[in-house]
Amino acid sequence: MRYTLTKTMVVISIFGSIASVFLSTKPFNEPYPFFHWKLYSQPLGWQNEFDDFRVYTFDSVTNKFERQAIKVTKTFNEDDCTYLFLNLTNKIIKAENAQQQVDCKQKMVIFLSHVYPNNSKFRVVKETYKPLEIIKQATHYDTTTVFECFRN
Amino acid sequence: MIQQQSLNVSEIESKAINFWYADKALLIVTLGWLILNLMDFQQIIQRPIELFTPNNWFGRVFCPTLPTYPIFLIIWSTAIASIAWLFFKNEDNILFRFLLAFTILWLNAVRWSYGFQSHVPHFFLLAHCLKIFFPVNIKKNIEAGKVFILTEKLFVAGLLVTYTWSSVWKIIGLFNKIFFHKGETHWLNANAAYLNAIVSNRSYDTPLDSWIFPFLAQGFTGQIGFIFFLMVQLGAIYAAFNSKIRFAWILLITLSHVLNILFFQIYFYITPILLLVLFFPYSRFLSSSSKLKPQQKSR
Repeated sequence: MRYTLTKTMVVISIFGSIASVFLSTKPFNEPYPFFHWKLYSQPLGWQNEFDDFRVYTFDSVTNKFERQAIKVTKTFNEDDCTYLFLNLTNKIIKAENAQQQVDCKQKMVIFLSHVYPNNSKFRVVKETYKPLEIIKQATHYDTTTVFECFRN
Repeated sequence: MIQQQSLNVSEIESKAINFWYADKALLIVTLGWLILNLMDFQQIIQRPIELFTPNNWFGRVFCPTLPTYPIFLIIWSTAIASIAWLFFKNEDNILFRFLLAFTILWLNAVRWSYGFQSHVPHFFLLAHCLKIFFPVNIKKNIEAGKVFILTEKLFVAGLLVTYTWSSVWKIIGLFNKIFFHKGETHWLNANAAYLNAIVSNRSYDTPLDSWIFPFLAQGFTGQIGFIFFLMVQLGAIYAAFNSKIRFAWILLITLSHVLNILFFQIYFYITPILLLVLFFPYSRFLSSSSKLKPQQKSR
């Protein structure tokens, strides 16, 4: 009986994995914990151009926005910090309605105020670069301001 | 005929012994993971409460808001108690197996409620889910004989098929790019691994001056690496059913994880550790007296 149940669990996990391909988009989301394992099915930078996002904080001494590199904070490791920032940025850009955008922006302000407690003015910037050029010159990228936000 | 029969018996016995030790190792690794998880929670609890947003049904149902420290500790302690029970008292208790899988799921749900559902622990979760009903007791498994052998192979296949899925998606992606998106970079392109490494490292603001870049810029190094990686992933399911090559294949998969960390900053730490402890051929390195030990214990 227990062996049969184990075999059934294996079959369920395989079906769960297949179902995950179709259900991982809204409104269903992943049939947790089964994953479709569609990872790196194409190389990053496959369009030969890449958009990255960074926070620029306002420095009142220099009167300029300064780029903030990815960093580890007291409450966020590198991954958690990067992915939460990217997740909120994407949600703001792709918000389905104005209210959703306001909510996400509010969260972004809370997040940035927490990570950069000494700053009150933030700019989210899209950095567009060509990988084969940036490898030669690290500063070779274009910037576009996505939005600005302020600590309440 | 007699020789054949005794060979099968010893094969069943060594598999049952391997499976028993692998389970103990899994429980020890899980204990280590739980300790790290508790340390992570010390960070998480200091984050602004508004940032906690469950991003899947499990989180929304079982952990809709940031848990308080006592609630977290109750769940965490349940996981610890389940490990202790399974390790020292009864390795085949379904209730504690279920509780362990559920609490690990819940503890992950807390971590994943910050806009980032990492897929790194899925293999870990899967290993615990697939073990809920599977008996570990050596005596029981030897008595079950062929049924145990078949179930063990399916259990391993259930875990290793995740790698095969990954390779299937890469093959689909490759054909899609070659035939329908000409001009875009596919994985067999000379620049593919180089581009992937640049973007991946730059996304963490890692300086792009390491030796890995001129190495991957050679083109053929990345192409050979991709083919190696694809074959290792694709063959994982075959290795599940072929005991002779299984551990060698596990070492190749582990190597591919190491290369991914080195070149692309793709940090799968727990998975290679689990692969090694779950599939290590313990019975080969233990004396016959040690082999008897678990059998005596299980009585």
